[in-house]
Amino acid sequence: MLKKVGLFLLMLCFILSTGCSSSKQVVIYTSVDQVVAEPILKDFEKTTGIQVRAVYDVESTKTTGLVNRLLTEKNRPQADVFWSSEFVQTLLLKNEGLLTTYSSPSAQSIPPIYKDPEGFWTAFAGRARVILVNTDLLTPDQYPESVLDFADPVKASNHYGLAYPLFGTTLNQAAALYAYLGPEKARSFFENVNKLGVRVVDGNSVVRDMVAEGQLAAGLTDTDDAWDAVEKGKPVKIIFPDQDSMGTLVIPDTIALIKGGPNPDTGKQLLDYLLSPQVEKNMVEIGFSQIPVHPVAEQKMELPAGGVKNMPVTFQEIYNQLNLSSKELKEIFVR
Amino acid sequence: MNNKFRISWSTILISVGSLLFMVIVLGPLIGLVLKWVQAQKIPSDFWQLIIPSGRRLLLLSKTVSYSLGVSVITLLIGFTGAFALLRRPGRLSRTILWWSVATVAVPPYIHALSWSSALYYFNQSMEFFTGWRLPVEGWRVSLWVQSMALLPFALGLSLMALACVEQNLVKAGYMLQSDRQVMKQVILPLAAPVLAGAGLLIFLLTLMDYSVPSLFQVNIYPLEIFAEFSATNDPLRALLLALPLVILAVIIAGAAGLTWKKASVQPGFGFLEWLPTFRGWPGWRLFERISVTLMVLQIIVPILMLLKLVGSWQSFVVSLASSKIEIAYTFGIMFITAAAALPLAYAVAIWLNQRSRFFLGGLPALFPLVMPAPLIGIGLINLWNRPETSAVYGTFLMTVMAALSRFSPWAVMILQAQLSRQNKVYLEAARILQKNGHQTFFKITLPMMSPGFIAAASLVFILTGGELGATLLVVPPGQGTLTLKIYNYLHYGSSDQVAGLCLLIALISAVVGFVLIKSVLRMWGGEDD
Repeated sequence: MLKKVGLFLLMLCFILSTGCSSSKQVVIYTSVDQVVAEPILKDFEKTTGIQVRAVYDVESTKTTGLVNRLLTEKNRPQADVFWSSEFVQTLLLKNEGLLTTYSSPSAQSIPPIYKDPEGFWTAFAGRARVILVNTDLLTPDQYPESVLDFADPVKASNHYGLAYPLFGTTLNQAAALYAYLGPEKARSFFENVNKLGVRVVDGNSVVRDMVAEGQLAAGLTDTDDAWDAVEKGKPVKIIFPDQDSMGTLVIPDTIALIKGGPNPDTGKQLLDYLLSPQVEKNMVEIGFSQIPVHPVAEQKMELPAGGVKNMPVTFQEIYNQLNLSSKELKEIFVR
Repeated sequence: MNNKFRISWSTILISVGSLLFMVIVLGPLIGLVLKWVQAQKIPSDFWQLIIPSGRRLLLLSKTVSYSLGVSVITLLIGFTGAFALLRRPGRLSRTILWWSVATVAVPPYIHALSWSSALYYFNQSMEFFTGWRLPVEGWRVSLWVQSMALLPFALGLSLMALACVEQNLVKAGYMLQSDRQVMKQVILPLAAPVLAGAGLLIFLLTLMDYSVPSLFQVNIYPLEIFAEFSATNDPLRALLLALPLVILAVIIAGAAGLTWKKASVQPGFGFLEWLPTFRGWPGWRLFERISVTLMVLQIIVPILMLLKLVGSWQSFVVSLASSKIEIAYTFGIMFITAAAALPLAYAVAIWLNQRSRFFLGGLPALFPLVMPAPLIGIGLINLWNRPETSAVYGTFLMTVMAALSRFSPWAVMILQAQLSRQNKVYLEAARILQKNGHQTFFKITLPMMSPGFIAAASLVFILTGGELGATLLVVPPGQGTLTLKIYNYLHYGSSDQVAGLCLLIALISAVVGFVLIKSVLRMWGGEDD
């Protein structure tokens, strides 16, 4: 009996250890959804013959899981490439000295605002922070037009919702409001949001599901989540907020090479591949990105005429507001 | 001479096992401390972080009340439900038991989502017919849903608690006293130690999980810790914030541990026919019926919701086909962790039982139970990501160590309880008659300890399957667990895929539960039809 158990455990160890060695490989840490990133990485494997070993983040760790792994592995990095579904964590890694510069030939046609001036990271495949409304519950004249409507005593109520503004892209949006409105006005806005009983839920996907099912009339979420509800035929409409005023926040993916990664050459090859127009086109087609940085002929989602008006704040300005916004919002919402 | 040689070998094995346990379990904590010592970076608000006041104190007190509430509700339902099911052993009772075991491994977050949807549909119908609706957010709803998600744990542990009740004592009690008195003076006191441990497990699981309450607009203290960690990426600040929870949990664990030591699982549910019927106590009978109904609901709601989301058999097959590697990896990790936890935990349990070493060795071993999971992952990276340990780092062993670190203290507690109630007469007789120590171990000790081993391995096996926070930080690149995949898909909204994977976990857990129950009953010579 004991021999059988021992043999079984040995076999398990063998199975668990397989697939860990290859002559040419690259290690990528990514907070992009596995369902989006995996096929793209498989295509890269097929095209180049380089084995991709990926670690995927999950939403419940609010994109901090892999960043903490990278920070802790700083003295002996295990990853070659970091592909983030937003920009704040990449700026943090740059500040912590974890990234190395690389000017990818694939990024030449990308506008300078989407590239780090020092060459540490490149942004692509943008998403926007939009309002998803349930068309069964609201008539067009009742649709919110601005993010600030979430603090409007007439419009907002517990039928509006957003994810905790302490994590992920909702935190990015909060920091962007701090940068644009100034800390005092932004704090007052969020205090009103809380006072009016706007529902604060666990993530953008929860906001999407609650609006789609009619549990919320309107909610703030990302375009990829919103588009998913549209594609499933839910009674929803996507509103790009503040197009006549401060603009909509666009949050791109960012990609960077890790300093001292074990496979720098294959890392660069992967980075070149991911920044290619074809990959971005694929991401638009599958509905993950709606605001590409390369020109894309066909766009599934209906964008505002003349393009999306961006919020006039830089990534660095948003990053600078993170600590303050995070501290104040915790005091307001975690009670 | 021969005897001395055996004693020294067992002492060496126990010492090595205990040392290994301490390195693996306390290793992450040591790794974190080493990091701060190296960095020499103590936060300026050190005291404010570890001593909660104002808003944080209120949040902490709400969290403790919430966790206590969940523990009490689940134990009440679990114990009375287990009582009712055991008194009427039959196909239906066994089906409820197996499916309850099956749903243990489904992540609580999925239970919560299922209940949230069920509430929504229920309210739609109620509103249509009566204009009345149940609340869909707030403390009461969250308390209810969290209790339902943890009910399978309460049921399993209540069964263990009832297995501690000796048949002869119950028989003797019946000759002299009424059902109520037997319950009060015999069954409850004998079951109390395991129930205390069960309460502790449920309390701690609730105390560290903010995901379910946050679905219902309820904030608890771990959210504060996670928000701080997310904003600063500083594990020291997160650990200092977690310290009040750690201290509180260690105090409660210490108290529960002292009573837990008095418990042991007896071989077999031989007392089945002697359970009180409470014919003259209609309130109890009603409570039993309500508990069994709730158990059935706790199984039906998530399973039905999962089936509805999966949609078709083809969709289920697609989920499986797309996750073959994760399925193999996850169950491999679950088996190895459960198998590795037993010798380590057994060595520590013997070491702790030899003298009163609970406060020396037992309490520190409880730290990982209440440490935020990501901190354990960070501690493991600090400890193992070095050139000299590169053969281990980046392999599946890191995932095993993360789970061992988080869950093997539970195995220690169960085995400690089992050890303390071993039949000393058998052991003495074996020592006199044995050919060698191995014979005693395999023929006497192992069979006597087997219920504890099975219970400990099952608990570690199930908890390992749901591990997320530490696994994410140490999982080898290119590998992934089912839980990681489920949470990743959850965000994307691939409900059918998520449901398919959850159903798979439930089915495999049902099979494992079925095999376990069968083998336990066969081993104990109980009913096996």
